[in-house]
Amino acid sequence: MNSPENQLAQLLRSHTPQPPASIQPASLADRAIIGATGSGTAAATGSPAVRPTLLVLAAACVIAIPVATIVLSRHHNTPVSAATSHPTSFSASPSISSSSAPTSSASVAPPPVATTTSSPVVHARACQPADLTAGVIRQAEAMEQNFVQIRLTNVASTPCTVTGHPAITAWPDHAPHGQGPLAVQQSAGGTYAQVDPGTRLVLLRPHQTSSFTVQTGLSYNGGLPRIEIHELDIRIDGNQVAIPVPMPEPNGLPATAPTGQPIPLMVSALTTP
Amino acid sequence: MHQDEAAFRDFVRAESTGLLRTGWLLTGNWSDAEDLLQTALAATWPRWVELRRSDAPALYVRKVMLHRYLHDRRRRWKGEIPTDQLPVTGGLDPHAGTELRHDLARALAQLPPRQRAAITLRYFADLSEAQCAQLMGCSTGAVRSSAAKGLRRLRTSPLLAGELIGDDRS
Repeated sequence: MNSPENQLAQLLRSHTPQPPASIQPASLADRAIIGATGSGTAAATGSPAVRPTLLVLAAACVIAIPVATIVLSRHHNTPVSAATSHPTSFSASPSISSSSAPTSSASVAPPPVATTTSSPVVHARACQPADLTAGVIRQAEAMEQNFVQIRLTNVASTPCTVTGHPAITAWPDHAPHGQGPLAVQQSAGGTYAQVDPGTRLVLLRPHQTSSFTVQTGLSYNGGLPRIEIHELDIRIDGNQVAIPVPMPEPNGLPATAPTGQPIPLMVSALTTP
Repeated sequence: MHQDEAAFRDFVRAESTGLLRTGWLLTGNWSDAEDLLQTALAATWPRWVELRRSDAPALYVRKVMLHRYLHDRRRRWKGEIPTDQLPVTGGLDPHAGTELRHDLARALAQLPPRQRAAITLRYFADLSEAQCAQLMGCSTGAVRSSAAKGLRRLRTSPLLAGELIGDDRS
């Protein structure tokens, strides 16, 4: 007969569930690298050997301040640190976008010398829907392109991250919905007002924000009915729980689509506002 | 992408499922499991070059996870109060697997942290007593004792009635 030990092993292996899809290995690696090195990717530092670099800076800072400034600039102009040892290098909504250039004054002190432990870590998990509020901050129409810019705010007491292009469900009415969702076909892309920055990991400290745009086209005018979208439900990072976002009234977000075809939606990736 | 970073990402991709499941067995929920693993990975990355050279990064990650799990002062061991209602057994039950999973989680939650850790490492992760001792920061005798006590409690738990009835002599 099988021993209790073997039975327990079989029980544990067969009945321990698989992790949910919302926990992505790529995001785990991203956050580990951001938190441990204080820069977005190791490519910025060349290797995970940050500690020796800091020790060298400490030794050289007294007699070679310009050298330290140059090295700091190189770090700061690349993806933003999530570590609390570089508070003056953060913008209001830091991201690891290479296009964001956090302000860093010439008076920024050299980073503290790493002693026996690695740099302070801001442990940032993926934002859950309950951590965020969402709202439309801009709606515009031009060149038969209608779009809304939606802002997410971290209302939790701890930092968290968002990434990618939110998944959208469009409703012709407000909740509670008396009608079913509209058929949509979502693609990635920006607008004339906000270019799609591409998927990136965005760190949101408490009260910090990230935004994205949702664009509909009105290029199908010519007898086709105009549809009004009155609510968008957004899901981030593969979460199944959606965050409802009411559209501005009274006309909502206008859209059209060829008869029998889904409404084309172009959604940009989450980024700093 | 730098070679070291690529190797680290490959490692996370290959090992994260098993490590997350380990975290789930320790904590009982995915949020805390992710928290344990994320902390461990953040501690692993700065030492990646040396760990990769030693060919044991997974053990180091587990060690950090264990350390945080066992020494997190904010965590209070909340032993669940067993229910008077025993699980329904017998007959065809399409949700039998799910119910057993819940019962397993509840039974594990009733174990003290060190017994739970020993059970997880020995019987899920299939580590040797020596490896467990290294990760848990104790002697092999302590690992053996914790695992035996944990197994005894699981065998006698009404939540797992009929699941661990093996012959001790085998």
